[in-house]
Amino acid sequence: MGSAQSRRSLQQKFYENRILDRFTAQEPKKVSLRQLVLFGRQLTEEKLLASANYVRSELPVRLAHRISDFQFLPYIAGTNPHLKTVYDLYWRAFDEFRRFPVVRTLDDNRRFCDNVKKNLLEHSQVIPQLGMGVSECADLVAPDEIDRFMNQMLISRISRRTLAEQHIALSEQFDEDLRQHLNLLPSESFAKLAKAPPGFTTQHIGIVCADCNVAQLVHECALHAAGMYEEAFHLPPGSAPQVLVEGHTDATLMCIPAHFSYIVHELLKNSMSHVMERFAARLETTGAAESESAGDPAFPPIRVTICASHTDIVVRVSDQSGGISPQVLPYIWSFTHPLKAKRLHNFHSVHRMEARMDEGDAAVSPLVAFGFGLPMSRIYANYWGGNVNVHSLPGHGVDAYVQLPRLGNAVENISSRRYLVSADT
Amino acid sequence: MLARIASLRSSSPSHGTAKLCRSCLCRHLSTKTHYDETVVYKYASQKIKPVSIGQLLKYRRLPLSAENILDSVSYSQAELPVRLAKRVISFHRLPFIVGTNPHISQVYNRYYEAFDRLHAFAPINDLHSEWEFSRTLEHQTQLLIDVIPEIAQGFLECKQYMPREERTAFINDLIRSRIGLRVIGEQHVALSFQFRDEQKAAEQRPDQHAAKSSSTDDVWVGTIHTKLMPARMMEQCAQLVQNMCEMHYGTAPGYYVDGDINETVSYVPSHFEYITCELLKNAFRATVDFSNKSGRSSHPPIQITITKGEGYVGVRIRDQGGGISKQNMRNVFEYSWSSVQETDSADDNGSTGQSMAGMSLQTNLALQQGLGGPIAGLGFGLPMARLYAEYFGGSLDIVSMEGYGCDVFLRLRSIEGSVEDKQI
Repeated sequence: MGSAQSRRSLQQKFYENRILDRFTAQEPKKVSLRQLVLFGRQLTEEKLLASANYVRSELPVRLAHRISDFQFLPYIAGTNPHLKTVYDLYWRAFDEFRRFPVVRTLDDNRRFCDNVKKNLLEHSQVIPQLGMGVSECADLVAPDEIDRFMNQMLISRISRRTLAEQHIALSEQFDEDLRQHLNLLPSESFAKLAKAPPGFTTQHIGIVCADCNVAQLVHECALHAAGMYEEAFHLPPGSAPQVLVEGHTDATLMCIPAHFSYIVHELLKNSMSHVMERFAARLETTGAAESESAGDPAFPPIRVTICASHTDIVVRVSDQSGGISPQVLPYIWSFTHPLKAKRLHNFHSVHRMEARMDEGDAAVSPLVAFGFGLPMSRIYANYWGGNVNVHSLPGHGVDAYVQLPRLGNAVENISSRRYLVSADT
Repeated sequence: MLARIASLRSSSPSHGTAKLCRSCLCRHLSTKTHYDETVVYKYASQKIKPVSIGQLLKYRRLPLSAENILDSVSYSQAELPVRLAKRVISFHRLPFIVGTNPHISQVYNRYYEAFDRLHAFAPINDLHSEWEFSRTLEHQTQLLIDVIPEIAQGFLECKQYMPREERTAFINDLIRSRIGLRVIGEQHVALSFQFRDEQKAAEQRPDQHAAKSSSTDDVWVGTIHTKLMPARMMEQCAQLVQNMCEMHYGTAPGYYVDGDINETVSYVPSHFEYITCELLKNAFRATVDFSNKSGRSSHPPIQITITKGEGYVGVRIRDQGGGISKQNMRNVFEYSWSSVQETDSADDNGSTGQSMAGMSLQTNLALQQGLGGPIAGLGFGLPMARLYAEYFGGSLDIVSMEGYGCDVFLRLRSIEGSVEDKQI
C-alpha cells in the first residue's frame, strides 16, 4: 500500500468518522458472570439467537470506543506502522460487524459464529503489534498516557473476546446437543430435552465455570509452568521449584478459568524463574539436579495460600526469589519503562499472542520475556472487579496477591470514556 | 540508654522549681490566651529550618566535646520554639467549640507552656546554661508525652463538629511535627547526658578515657542506635505483646521470627518499638478474636520475617486473624476509628496498667491503648504507626485476606547520614 494511498485512506477515515460517532455515543451493555451463567444454563434456540444479536450489536459499540482511543493518540504515535495495523484491523472488524444482518435463524448464527471466529484469529496479532508499537513510541508519548491507553485497549479486548468466545461456546454446545437429539427417537428426544443436555453440566456454561476449585487450578498451572521451564532448561522432571498449596483448599469461585489460569500461571512463572535464577548455582551441583531423594529440594518451595471469604478469594503466591530490585519496582505495572522497551522488542519474534496460559507451547520459549505479564494479569483481574498486588521483601522474596470476587455478581469493569481512571497500585 | 533517661525522669530532683513556675504559669496562661499573642505569632511566622538525619548523626564520633554540645543546643534553641509556636497557632484555627473541649484545651496549654519555657532562655554560650536548657527541654518533652491519647479522646468527643478531612489533616500535622520535635529534642538531651556521662567517666578513669574502646556505647548517636538488630527487637516486642495478650484474654498465639535475623540497621529504637508493638498488638488480638469466632482449637502462630535490602530493613508480619473486611479496610488508616468492641475496655480493671520495664513510655501507652487498657480502641494506632514509618522515608502496607488473615509489610530506611536522607 503506497504512502499516497494510505494518506488518502486516513483522510477518508476522517470523514467516515461520523459513522463511528453514532456508535461511540452508545454505552456498552455490560454483563456479569452470573448473568452469563443463568442465561446459558437453559439454552433454547430463541435465547441463542438473542445472544448472537447481543454480541453482534455489542462488538461494534466496544470497538468504536477503542478506535476512538486511537484517534486521540498524539498524531505521531498514530502513524506508527504497528499501531496503525491494529487500528486498521479494528476498523475493518467494526465495519464488518455493524453491517452484519440481524441473526434470525440457526443458520444465520452459524455464519455469524464463523465470522467471529475468523476475526478472533485475525486479531490474535493485536497484542504483539501493540507491544511493538508502544515500545517504539516510548520516547514520543508520556508513559502515563501509554499505560492508560494500553490498559484501556487490553481490558476492552478481553471483554470483546469473552463475549465472542462465550457465544461461540454456547452455539457449539447447542449444535452438538441438537445433533445428538436428531439421532434419538422422538420420545427419547423429548425426554432428553426435558432435563439438562448431557455434557452440559450445570457448572460449566460455555467458558464460565460456576464452581472452579482454586487449589486444583493452581496445581494445574504449577505443573504447566514447571514443565515449561524444565523443558527449556533441559532439566529432569521435578527439579523446578516445588509449589505447595495451603489454606482453604476446598474453596471454589465463579470465574472464567482461562483468565484465572493466566494470572496464576504468570505469577508462578515469575516466582519460578527468579527463584531458579537466584539459586542457579544449585542447578549445577550434580547431586541436586539428579537426585530425587527425600533430601532437601534444590530450591525453596513457592507457597501458595488460598483464602476464601464469603465474597472474595485471595490467592497469595509467596516465594524466596530475593525480591524485586528497587530500580525495577516502580515500573512493574507499566508497559513502557525503558528497561522494558528492550523486552517489548521481543514481540518482533512473535506473530500471534492471545495471552493464554496454554499457548506457550507453540510459539515462544519461556526464556523470552515480554515484560507485560504482570500488567496483563492485573487487567484480567480488574476486568471482573478483582486486583493483583505485589509486595517485595528486599533480599528475601516476593509476595503476590490475586484477589477475585467469588460470587460472579460484579459487572464487567470496562469504560466507555476515552481515558479510564485506573486503580492505583 | 533509654532506661537511663527513664530513671532520670522519675527521680526528678530539681523539678521543684518547675512545679512552682507551672502553677503561676497556669494562672498566667488564662490571661495569655487572648491578649498577649504577639510573642507566639512572632515565632510562628518564622520558617522552619529542617535538619537532615546526617546532621543528627554528625556527632557519631566519640568522645563528645563541649563544642559539639553547644553546637547541638544552638540548633535546638533556635528551632524548637519556632516549631512549638506553630503547633500552638494550629490550635487557634480549630473551631471554637472544638478548642473548648477539655482534652484538646489541655494539650493546647501544654504546648503553650513548652513554648513559653523554652523561648525564654537567653542565648546559650556555656555548659551551665546548656544544662539548664537541656533539663527544661527534657521535662517539657516528658509533659508532652501523652498528648496523643489526649488529642485522641478530644477528637473522638468532637467528631460531629469538624469534617473528617480537617480532623485528619490537623492530626497528621500534629503527629508529624511532634515526631520532629521529639527527635530533635530527645537527640539533644541524649547527647547532653552522654557528654556528661563521658565527662564523669573520664574524671574517674582518665587513663582509660584516652584509649578509644569499641564499647557498646559507640553504637549510640543520641537516640539513634546504629547497630539495631530488628530480629532481636521483634523477639522482645512479640514476647511482651504475647504476655499482655495472655493477661487480657487468657490465651495468646505463638510466634516465630525468621529471615535475615543477624542483620542490623541504624534507627531510633523507640520508633521501631512503637511501630512493631502496634502491629503485633493487632495481629495477636485478631488471632484470638478469630479463633473464638471460628471455633478453631488452637491459634496459628504469628510469623515474623526480617529481610534486609539496600539501605532498608523489611519486616513482614503474617497473622491468621481472619483479615479485615473490605469496608473496614477503608477505615483502618483513619483516625478515631476502631474495631475494638466496647466490652474490651469495660472488662479491664487496670490489670494492664502496669508499665513494662525497659520499654519506652510511648510503647507502654500504646499497648494500653490497644489491648483493652484504659484508653483502648481510640483508633490512632495504625495511622500513627504509618506516620512513624514514613517519617524517615519508610512505608507501611497492609494486605488483608478476608476470612484468613493479614500480611503487614513494614519497610524502614536505615538512618545512615547519607545525602539522600530526609530532612525533618
